[in-house]
Amino acid sequence: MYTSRAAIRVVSHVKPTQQVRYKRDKTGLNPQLERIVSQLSVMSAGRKQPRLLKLCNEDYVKHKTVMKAWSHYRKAKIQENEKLLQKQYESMKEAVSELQNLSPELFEIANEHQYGKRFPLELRVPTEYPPRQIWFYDYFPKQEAK
Amino acid sequence: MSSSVSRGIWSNFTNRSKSLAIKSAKLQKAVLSPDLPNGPVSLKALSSKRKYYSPIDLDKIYPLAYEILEKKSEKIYSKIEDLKKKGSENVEEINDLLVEAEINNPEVVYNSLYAANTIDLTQPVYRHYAKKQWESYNKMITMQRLETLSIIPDTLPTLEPEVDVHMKFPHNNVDTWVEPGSILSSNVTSKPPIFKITEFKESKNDLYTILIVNPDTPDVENNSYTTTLHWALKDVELSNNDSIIDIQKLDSNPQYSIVDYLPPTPEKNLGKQRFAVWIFRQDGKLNEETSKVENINNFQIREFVENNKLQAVGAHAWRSVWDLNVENVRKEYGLPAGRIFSRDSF
Amino acid sequence: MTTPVIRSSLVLSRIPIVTPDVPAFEKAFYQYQEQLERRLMWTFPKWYYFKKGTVAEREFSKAQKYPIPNHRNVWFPKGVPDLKHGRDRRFKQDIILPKKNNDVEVSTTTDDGGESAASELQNLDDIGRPIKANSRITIFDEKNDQTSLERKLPRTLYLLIKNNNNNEWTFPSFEVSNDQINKGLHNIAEEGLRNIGGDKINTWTVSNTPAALIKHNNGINEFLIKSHIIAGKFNPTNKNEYKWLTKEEIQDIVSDEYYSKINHLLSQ
Repeated sequence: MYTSRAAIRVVSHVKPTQQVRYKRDKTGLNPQLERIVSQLSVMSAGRKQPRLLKLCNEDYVKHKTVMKAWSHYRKAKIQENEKLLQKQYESMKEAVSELQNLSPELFEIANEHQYGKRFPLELRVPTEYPPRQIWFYDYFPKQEAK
Repeated sequence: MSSSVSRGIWSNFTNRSKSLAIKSAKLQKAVLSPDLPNGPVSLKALSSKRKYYSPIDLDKIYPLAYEILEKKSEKIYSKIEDLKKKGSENVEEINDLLVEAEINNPEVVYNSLYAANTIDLTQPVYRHYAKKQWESYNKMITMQRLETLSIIPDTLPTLEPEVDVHMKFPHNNVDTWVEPGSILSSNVTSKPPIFKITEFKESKNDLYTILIVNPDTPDVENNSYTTTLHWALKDVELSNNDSIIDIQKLDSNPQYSIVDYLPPTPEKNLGKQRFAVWIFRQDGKLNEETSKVENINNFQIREFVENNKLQAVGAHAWRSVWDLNVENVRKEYGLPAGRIFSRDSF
Repeated sequence: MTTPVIRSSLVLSRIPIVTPDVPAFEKAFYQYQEQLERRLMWTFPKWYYFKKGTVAEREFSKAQKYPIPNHRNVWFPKGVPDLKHGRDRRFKQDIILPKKNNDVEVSTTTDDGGESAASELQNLDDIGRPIKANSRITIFDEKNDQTSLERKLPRTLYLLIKNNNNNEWTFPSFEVSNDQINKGLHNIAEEGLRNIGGDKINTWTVSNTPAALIKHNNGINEFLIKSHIIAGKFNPTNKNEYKWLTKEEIQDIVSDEYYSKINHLLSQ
């Protein structure tokens, strides 16, 4: 915890760049020091910490139950997601290996490296509420515009 | 708001033991309601009851959380049903599933946290919690004391603890368990101790052997020490819900005793004497021949264990030192007068 | 020897426009955690943000609701207040921002869609108009117009078209003829889409690589290519029936066999 005295000790050797005549206030600090003290006090816990949260036995058990349920819920969600990804990967692998048997030519094209492939700028990141114009319908392909 | 959150398997006691519920109706209501309808029942003082505030919004999330965990438990119970229908003989698998099904039940959690002395150890889930509790403190302290006091390897080579051993003496009605390795006065130890042996596996009528040995008996002739056997019990029948060995039990079962209790009477100027309590699990009843002890003053504990095929599962220890009361204990048990050791006699 | 028939299908999706709906349990949990965090929060350092004696400080202080302080002649049955820096340390601190003149309550109600379009247009010119969030439920949701792209905003929608031959709903599927083979599966699917749905559509193919293969009983190998619609509209040229559907709706409409082969490709 920083006390005002500690702050004075820290800054006592720092000379102000500009000579200003300050009025001493009740705490006996000039505004510059006062500012430093208040800035340091923001980071210190002194007189700002709340009381310890004490739960009675019933509420503690309830809290434990809630946290356990949450961890189960999250775990189930993550596992489901992993399973889905695994399935998607396997189906992709199966499709590509089958394509190699059926048509080597198509297989070659499917596996070509796509240089400079990027997400299109027009793709929108989901927001909490929709935009005023939800969908852009009046699209024309570039070639036609020429 | 004060209606019960439980509507499923955890409030159905047709196939589940009643001991999985909280005994006190008021407490049970408090744990099974979203909020606290009668205030915090577990707080004793009226002023702290009045001052108490539950965390905000806990009453909204708790029923949902309970439902999630209860549904999961229901699934596990149906899995157990399937296993039983198939005629599965794998008791351990079923017990593990039973633990998994009840481990998050708030009532079970409450009981194992705040009513640990009265939990029903026949239930796998309570044994699981008791084991966790034991491993977190008592097991470690027992092993530490056995090793620092060199009871391991002075009496037996090592120990793989499996049971929780509690010991106390019927002394002035002081109802506290003795911490392993503590120094007790001869007055305290003048009557045989009471044991509580907690098994964490399913146990129905297992047989146990209990030995109390003192490896610090002076052997002046050989300038060494011998081991004295202070108490030996055999074929002590214990189970999950009957785990205490006290005087009542010993009186009604005189066949348990191999060697009667000999109270510690340390000699003067001999320093602290270690008394090691060893608990062994037996495969079956002990052989009359091999379990006989002729000479308690030069007792070979390793030989005895080997001959009887005993498996050490738990241990305890205390220390005694000469005090003013030793004389009285000797008189009470009709023992010969004590010797006084001094440097000159060597 | 007959060459096996290869078809290329397009799994065309419209990605969500708004964030997913939060399930009831998650919502309640986040609320509970927020309350706990507020309870355990340090007291707001007013003196750091507001200089003493300024108007801003006065306004801020005026807006706060200060708890009742302790007094030696008063009996507090629900616990003695423990005030430090104007906060009862037993509870959370509610920080109330002072209302400015041009501040208007932010309305985030989603059910209020009764305002007429004309008045909204008028409001748009006014810079000081109240901030009003658009509804997450659109009129197309209410009409249940499954051909619209503006429905089920928090969900991913997929384009399904009705096959005229056997009246079954499937993803748009196109045959790969031998002269097209040098284009690759993804181009064939994209071009096929424009043939049946007009070219006023902007799509982005995720990859050249097929995401899945459906082997039909009649020897047809159908490869699925994933793609996103970015702008424009699917406008069927031959009056084909089409729908934009979520995963659950797809399950209802397609055959079980078809669904079992595509369900892992669809997002929740």
